[in-house]
Parts: sequence; C-alpha cells; structure tokens
Amino acid sequence: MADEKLPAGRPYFHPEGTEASGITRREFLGVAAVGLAAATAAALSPLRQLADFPTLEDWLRKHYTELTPRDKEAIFERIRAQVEKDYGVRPNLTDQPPLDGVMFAYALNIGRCVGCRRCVYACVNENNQSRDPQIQYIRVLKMKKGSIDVETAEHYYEGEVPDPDHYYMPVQCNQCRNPPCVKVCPVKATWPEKDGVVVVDYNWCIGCRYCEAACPYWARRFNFKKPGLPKEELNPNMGYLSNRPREKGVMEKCHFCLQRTRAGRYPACVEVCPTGSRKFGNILDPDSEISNIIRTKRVYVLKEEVGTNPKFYYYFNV
Amino acid sequence: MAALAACIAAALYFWFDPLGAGERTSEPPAVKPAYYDTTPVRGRLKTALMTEGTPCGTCHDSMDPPAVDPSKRGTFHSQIVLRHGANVRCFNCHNSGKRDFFSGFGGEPIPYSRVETLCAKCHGPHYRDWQQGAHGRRNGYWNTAMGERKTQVCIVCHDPHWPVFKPLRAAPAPRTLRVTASAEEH
Amino acid sequence: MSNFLLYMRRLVLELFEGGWRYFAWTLLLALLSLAGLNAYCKQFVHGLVTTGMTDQVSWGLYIANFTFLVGLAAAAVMLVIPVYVYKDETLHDVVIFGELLAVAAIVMCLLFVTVDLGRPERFWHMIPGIGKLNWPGSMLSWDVIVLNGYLLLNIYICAYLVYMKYLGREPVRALYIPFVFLAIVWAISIHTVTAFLYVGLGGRPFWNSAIVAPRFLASAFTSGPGFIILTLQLIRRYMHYHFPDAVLLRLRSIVQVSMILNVFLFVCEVFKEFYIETAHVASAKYLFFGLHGQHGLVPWIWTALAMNLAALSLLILPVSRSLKYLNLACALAIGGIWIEKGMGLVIPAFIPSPLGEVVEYLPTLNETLICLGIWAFGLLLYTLFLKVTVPVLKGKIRFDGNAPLKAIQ
Repeated sequence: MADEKLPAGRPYFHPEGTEASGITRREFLGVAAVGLAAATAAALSPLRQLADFPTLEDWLRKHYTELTPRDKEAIFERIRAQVEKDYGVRPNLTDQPPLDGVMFAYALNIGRCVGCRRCVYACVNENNQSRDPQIQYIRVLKMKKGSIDVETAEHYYEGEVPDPDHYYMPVQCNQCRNPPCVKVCPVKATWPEKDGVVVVDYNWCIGCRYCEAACPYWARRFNFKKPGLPKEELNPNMGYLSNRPREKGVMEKCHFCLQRTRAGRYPACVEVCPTGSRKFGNILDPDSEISNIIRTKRVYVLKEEVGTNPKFYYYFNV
Repeated sequence: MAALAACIAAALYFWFDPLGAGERTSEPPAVKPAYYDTTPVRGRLKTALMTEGTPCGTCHDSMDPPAVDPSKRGTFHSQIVLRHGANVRCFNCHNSGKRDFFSGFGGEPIPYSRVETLCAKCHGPHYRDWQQGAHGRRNGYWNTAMGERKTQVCIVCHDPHWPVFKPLRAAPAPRTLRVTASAEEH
Repeated sequence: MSNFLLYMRRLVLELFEGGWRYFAWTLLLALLSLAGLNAYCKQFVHGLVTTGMTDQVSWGLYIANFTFLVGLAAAAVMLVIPVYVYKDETLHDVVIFGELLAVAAIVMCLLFVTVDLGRPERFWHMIPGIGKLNWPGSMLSWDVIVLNGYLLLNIYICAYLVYMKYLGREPVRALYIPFVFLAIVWAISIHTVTAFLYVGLGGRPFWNSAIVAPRFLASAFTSGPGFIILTLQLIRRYMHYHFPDAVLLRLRSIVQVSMILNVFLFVCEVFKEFYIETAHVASAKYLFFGLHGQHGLVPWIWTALAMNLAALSLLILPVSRSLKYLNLACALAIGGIWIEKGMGLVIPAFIPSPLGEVVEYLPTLNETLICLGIWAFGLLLYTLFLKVTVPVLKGKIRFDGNAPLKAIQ
C-alpha cells in the first residue's frame, strides 16, 4: 500500500516503467481487472436462487390479442402441465370468448351490506389469489353514518357486524367505461373486453405499476413476490384472462370472475353474499335485474368527478 | 493491493450475503371455508311448515284452537321469539284453520312454497323489489338461458318471527404486505 | 474510418491512465455500483417485495430518483441556451460538461425505471414494431421516447463536437446546430412529459395541478446548474481544466432566478392546497403535518424547506459571489430539491390511498443500496466521460495526421 506515501496529484504509474512500489501499470490493471471480475461474479451470485426464469418460449410469447388459436392451444397445454406440476391437479383451463350482446354491470345495495367480508374471501378462494403475501380484490370500508369521506373509513374492523353507528361500503374494480388504468399502460397489457370487463394479460404486463397509480378505486394489485397459494386451495376451474395462477412482478385485478360469468354463472362475490346486496347481470338486456335496478333505484357511482364512468353502481333500498 | 483487498472484501460480502434480501412478510390468516360458505344464513329451507321436524297439521288438524296464550302451552311454541314489529298476532300469518298453511288477506290458505306472497301482504315495495331482483339473494346463473337461477325466498334470510337480519362475525381483516391488523386502528 | 477507430482506441487507453486519486475514486464507484447490482440481483430473484413498496404506496425511491434525475438531465439546457440562443460566450467552454452530465443522468434515469419494473426481461414489449407501445395514450410511452431521444441527441452532439476538436477541425454548423436547438426543446420536453406522467392521473388529486411541470422545470434549473457548479470546480481542480470564475457566476445567476421561481411556485401550490382546504388537501396535510397519527414525511419536507430557504437566502445575497458560499447554497439547493421532488412529490400522492388508507412507506436497505448503486454507476460514467473528454478539449489528445500510430507509442 504505497499509495498513501505518494504526493497528491503525482501519477502513481509511469506509462512505460516500474515505480518504486515495484508493480507496473499493466500489473496493477491486471490485478484490478481480476478483482473486479471476481467481485462482479460474486455480486451476481444471488441469481443462483432464481427459480422462475421464463423459458424462451414464454419470454417471446406474443400479446394475447395476437395469438392464433393454435398458439393458444399450445400455450394452454403448457400452462396445464405447469399447474399440474406445481399443484398436483390438472386444471380445467378455458378461454371463453365474450358473449354476444352482453355488457356486464354490477350493483351493490349499500343499505343492505353488513360488512361481513364473505365476498372478500369468496373472491380469494375462487380466483386463486396469493395468500402470502395477501392479495384481495375487494376492500370493505366501514363508514361512519353521516359521512361519505373514505378517509374516516375503517379498513381493519373485526368482530360482530353490522355496527349500528356505521354502514359498509365494499370497493372493488369499477370496470370503468373510461378506464384510466388502460389509458396509462405503456404496453397495452390491460384492456376492456367486449363485455366491458377490464382484463390483464399476465404474460404481457411489465410490472411498472402505472395502472395502480392511475386507478382512483385502488382496485389493482401487484404481485410483489411469487404468489403463495397452498396446493389444496387451488381452484382448478380457471380462465386464461382471469384466475389462472399468476406470476411474480405482474398486476392483477377483479375481472368479474370471467371463468364463471362467461359461462352464465354469477360471480363468486354475488354467489356468497349472505344479505343479497350484490347484483350482477347484463346491462344490455332491458329486462335484466341489473337494468331494472339502474332504472328504478337511486344509484350512485364512486368518484364520479374523475370521469371514469364505472359499471359498478351503488344503490339504496328505495 | 488496497484495490485488490477492496475487491475481495466486496466479493466476499456479495457471496455470503450477510444482510439477506431484507424481505419481510407477515403470515396471513388461513382462508377458512367458513369465510366463503354460500349456505344462506338460516341454513337450508325446510320443505313444509313444521316445528322440530313435525308438520304443524299433525297435531293441530285434530285439535281445536286453545283458549290460552300458546307460548305458555306445550314445548313447541315456547321457543318462538316474536319480534315482528306491530305484527304480534299468530293468525296474521298462520292459517287458523289449515295449520300447514299461511293465511292470505281473506283467510285463504297460502302454501309454504309460496311464502313470499304471505310477506307481500305487508311488505309490498320489498316484494316488488324482490320480484324485480333489487332485493334478496340470487344464486346460480345470471343467464337463465345457460342454467338455472335460484331465487331465494324471504325466510331463507329472515326469521319470520324476528325478521331483522342477525349480526354476523366478520371474516378477518386484511393483512396485506407490510400492513398489520393493528396499523389502522385508531 | 480507421482514424475514428484509432481515436476510440486512444480514448479507451486514456481511461487506464491516471493518478491514485483517479483509480481510488473509480474503484470506489465501481464497487458501489456492484453493491447495487448485487442488491438488484436479490430483487430480481425475490421480486419487489425486497423494497418498501406496497399496493398502497406503489412507487417509491426509484421513481423519486428518476424524477430528480430527469431534471438534472434537462438542466444541461441551461448551459446551452445562453451560449447558442443568446450568443453569450462565457459558458462556451463548459457546455460540453453539461451535456455529458445529461447523458450520465439519462442513463441513471433509464436504470431507475428498469429496476422499478416487476418484469424487466419483458422490456421488449415497449419497443415499437415488435412490442406494443401504447403511444400516444400512455404518458409513460412518451417518456420512454423522449428520454431515449434525448440520450441519443446528447451523445451525438457531445461525440461530434469532441471528435471535431480531436481532428482539429471547425465543426460544421449544419451538422450540429439544428441538433443543439432540437435538444433545447427536447430538454424542456423530457421534464414536462415526466411531470405529465403524474399530472395525467385523475385519481391522484395531489398531482392534479397544472403547475407541476413549471415547478419541475424551476426546480430542475436550480438543482441542475447547482450540480454543475460543484462538478465544474472539481473538474477545474483535479483535471486542471481552466476557466474563469465568471463561468460559475453566470451559472449562479441562473440558479438564483430558478430558485426564486421554484420557491414562488411552491408557495402557489401550498396556497391552493391549504386555503381552499378541499378533501384533496389530505396528501398535503400528511406531507406537512401528518395524518391520522402517521407523519413519516414531516421531518423530510421541513428539512427540504429549510434547505431551500437557506439556499434562496444565500443565493440572493451578494455573499454567494464567493465560491465558498455559492457551493454551500448549491449543496443546500440540491439536497432540498432532491427531497422535495422525491419524498415531497412522489410519495405523498399515495398517502392516503384512494380509499383513504394511510399506509406509510419506508425504503428497505436493499432498495437503498440499488439507488446508491445507480448513482455510483452514473457518477462513474460521468467520471469516465470527463476522463476522456478533458484531454481532447485541452489538446493533449489530438489527431496527428502524418503519424497516427506514433502518437500512442
């Protein structure tokens, strides 16, 4: 360590000779290069644990809207095999197209909801969300009677419900007609389907979370790590754009249970709601329950001033 | 030499990773089947008007109406808690003649399977809403062309003797990444 | 062509010449960069769970630093405008250092965006043609375009001017003046687009202010030239590249005016938030005073305010004509603006969440190491750029037409 003894500013090495310290510039650079190479290799060492690096096929996979039926079948087969390997169940993976003449909408009777959170867990159970870390699409707000300010809401209430001094307002994806999340996505990885449901291509999303910042309803969720889903809790009935297992680093969100609703069934949250506060159907059918509610009830949407024009309505008993 | 030492020290630090990735996650509560059970709050609907498995007519068809308060007579009626607002007379709803039936406005029998028309006697707007789908529970298929829609009747959720919806225990509060249950309690 | 290859070779060889300070400094930066790379490898393996971000606060230090550095990059224009628009030759000899800084800053920006991605290996989805860039819909796609464009513009301008200097030729005006003017507009645009990235989100009232872009520019034109004032003195001292103090004082007047504007726009914003006191003041309340018992950002923003006000006072007083106080003022301004743009602008927009939840954000060590690594890498790049540029500008490395090979032997 002769360097300290050298006067400041004086060149340590002569370009063409040896210094008093006995090493040449070439030797020094060699040593430094080897040292830096070793340090670089060591710095990269955490990559040893990388388990989920995509295969070339997956990495080059095209956007959902550009896949041919043959591409899709090959991809679905790979996913089925992967799910079977990871969860020990052969899934019923489908990709049902939107139904003709159908536009989905949702209504929630704000006067009936008791805040029991059954919808939250029915959703988690149906849609294969990560249990660890916890991902939930529905957040139930416990609101003070006399206030509509969400900032005074309680998110973490427990125990017996309903509390007589409060009402409850569940919030989930509003399936906006003018969705800010879709507008901001830099790679078109999220879009509204023909039946009005905003979906995510989990294999196209780059994970920038711009949509999450854009959403006024806090409806989008990010997989901060590989989703933790116990084998025995997997729902094997899955859709490609909806509840198939997700991967680390991508967004996900409520998709109105496409794997159920495109087969004509109610979403899991409607199916479970013990108070019957949750209503769902085809808004293009004038005789549907949902059309009737919007026509005859006092209806409001959340944050109307943001101009998102949601298809998720809240209504009152009268 | 100092340079090499620094490189080696850095390499050792990277390789042995004494600090780890700094990953912290909380253990989320298990998703118990009870949290997403689709059974209605009052359980499965009975098939007929009955008490403890015995259709009412079994006793009452061969019996004249007693002259005393029935809640003080016999074991069958003692457990009934009647908190139905101003509606405190048994025969407002129950058919005094045919005990396996409810009673319409003119005393005409209403079968158990048509209980909603009994409730409709007083709860007109709710009945209308229920018929149109704004009130009450639906299960199965929103698209009746693809499957059956199950329209749950009033008494699946409401106890007719005490109709107010009973409190439930809420399923656990969220415990998302870096948020513990107590973080938001004031 | 062979001349150009020889030139490149000489520049590369120049990187391996230098005093012990140079080697110690570059080694330190290289090792810090590696520490960042190491931390990033961990993040790549485990996911963004290694950061302090959550679904509630979904952007953190990465995007905060990104925003600050876009400003630093844009600030190079404040050296260019006086020289090329106002024909003020004072700054002529140091313009190139500003542009090199812009290149290094943009590289850091791109790195900060990349480390923020959950699936960085899918970057190709953003490449027009093979991917699906959502242009013109997404402001992020605009940002990708303007940042890369600005990077190319500055690389071209620097490379062309330095190479001409090496050849001893007068640069052809048609080959660089149009690009210089394009770069001026482009510099304004990168920071404007970055501001629009935030302003464009209707669901985040804290950002829904038309003066975000002007504020960004004002703060960038304060911190950027401030940063350049400090680096120029280091260049002068350690690389023996001489220029008069007048250069620094000209930059001082730029910093002075920008700082006044910056503070003024800040006051406008504060008035609008707190006087009308709509529900949308919640984020600002959280930032300045805390909300529902949570006040993680309060010490930061008041520190930033104090630093900015101290810098402002120093800058408008004649005392900052002395380099000692000018440097202090610049350091204060850089620190204050770094906090104001990161902790003060990016993070509070997420608190409370759109559903009124107050979840605080605290960066993790791993996340901080990645940031540090990127900064170190950027400074390393800038050091190396200077290392090869200064000798050319000084005429130490220059084209020797008759005996090209002799020059390096």
